[in-house]
Amino acid sequence: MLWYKAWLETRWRMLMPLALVLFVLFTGHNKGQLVQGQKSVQNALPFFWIVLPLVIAGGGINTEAPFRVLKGLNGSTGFTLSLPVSRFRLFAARVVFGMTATAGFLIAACCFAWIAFPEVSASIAWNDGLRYAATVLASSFAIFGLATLFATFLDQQLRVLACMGSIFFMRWLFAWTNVPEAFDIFRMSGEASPLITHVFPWASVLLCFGFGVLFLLGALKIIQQKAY
Amino acid sequence: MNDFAIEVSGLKKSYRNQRALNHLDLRVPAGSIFGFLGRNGAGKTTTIKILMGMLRADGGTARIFGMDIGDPRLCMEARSRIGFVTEDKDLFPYMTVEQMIRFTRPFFPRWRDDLESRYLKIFDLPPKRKISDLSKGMRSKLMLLIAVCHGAELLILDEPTDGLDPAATEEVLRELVAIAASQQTTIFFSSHQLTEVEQIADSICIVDKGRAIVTGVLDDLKARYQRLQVVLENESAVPARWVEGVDHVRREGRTLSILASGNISAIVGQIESLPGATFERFPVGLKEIFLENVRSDENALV
Repeated sequence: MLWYKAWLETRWRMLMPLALVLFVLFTGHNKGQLVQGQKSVQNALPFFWIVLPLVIAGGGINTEAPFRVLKGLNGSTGFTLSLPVSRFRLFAARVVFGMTATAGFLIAACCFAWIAFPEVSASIAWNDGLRYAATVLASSFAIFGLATLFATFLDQQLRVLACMGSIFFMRWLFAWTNVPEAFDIFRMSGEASPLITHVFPWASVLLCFGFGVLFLLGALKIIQQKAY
Repeated sequence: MNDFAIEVSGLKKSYRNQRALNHLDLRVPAGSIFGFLGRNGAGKTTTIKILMGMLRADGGTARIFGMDIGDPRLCMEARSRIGFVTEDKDLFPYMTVEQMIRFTRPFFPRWRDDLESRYLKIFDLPPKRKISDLSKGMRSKLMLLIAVCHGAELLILDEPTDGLDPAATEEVLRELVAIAASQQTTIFFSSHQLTEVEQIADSICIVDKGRAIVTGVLDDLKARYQRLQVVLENESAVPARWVEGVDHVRREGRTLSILASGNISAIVGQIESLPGATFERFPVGLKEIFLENVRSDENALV
């Protein structure tokens, strides 16, 4: 039933990334840009893969009334916490649902682009497509973890701002510290994506999963200690 | 079988520098209807949140059916036996009444379908209506329905009648008494409405500044407490020290108003020893016991 609750909470939020990805794909198709290497679509898609987990990330267990969290009002969280369910299970249900939804959405979007637009299937090999999907899933996981962490103590609007700010800060940090290209998680879904390099970026993918796990563990720790 | 549904001992909780609970002691007999009273900020909701595992106490112990709720596993087990109505009556706004019930039911294997139909009818709850379209009173009733239908052995209700009109309040109180009687459910409820508490509670606890200041069976308290109205012949004849049992003394000119919580014969003896003093005894209601214990009075001598 926690999945049912997560579905009811998330279903309308998923419409926004759906509309966004369809817009990007159809615009790219109409302008003849939906082929490998076309910069405009290439640049737009990574933005979409950032927005998707940000929007889906249900985060903590207090997101039923996110706009009231800052005022110390936790909305229906009181009711949720009164159920004979551990905080870990509440959190896990939301994370698993969120990541499943993200993965499902991602796979559906890739399949849709593959089937609906012949230029995509003609220009991208299926194994490159799979590598790309796995790469994007890894970066989505890291962003999902970050959004979840912020959702444990921030309002929804602030959460998005904080996530975007953190992503830009990390991007700057990676550039400033001259991180080796293999570990540059920001290149793997853009200029160094498997669609271009035809190589799976193992190091970056593992780093993304590492970040994701770290963020989620942090969020879980906060939720288990938090007073509601 | 525990004699007490709730046992709280030396419970402490502070928010930053603000002390919310200060060594609170409390025992709620199993099967009783227990009124938990106090002014705003006295510590009622903090206590309830600790009992429900939403807050961690800084010290002391709290047990429900003998289970230490400081242990998350035991707290979860205790929650399966508790029906809870929150202070703000917030449920999931995007669900309908029907969905809310469907969502909650699987968490409680002992869900009572018969009670569900009964209370949907009694409380006149429209199954297809969204929670966000329900009034606070309707949400209170829905929360109560959910709490009762899962076969809870203990109902913890934070201001259960808040937001209800007088007719609905009466209806809810009547049902609470019926639930306690027919299902042997313990009801622990906080309220500002002293008349409601007096109407249904067997036992009460008045909490002030995080401490239990009056606790006991309501009928015993009402029998024990008395007001003595004393008229003095001589204004200076007020004793410097009163015997035990005198809780509060207020003075207006030659008249003393004494609230006594016991030891009445000794107090009467002391009054009779005052030269020319006359007095009358009055029974005391819950409201008076409450107000005398929680208010700060400039005219108070004791």
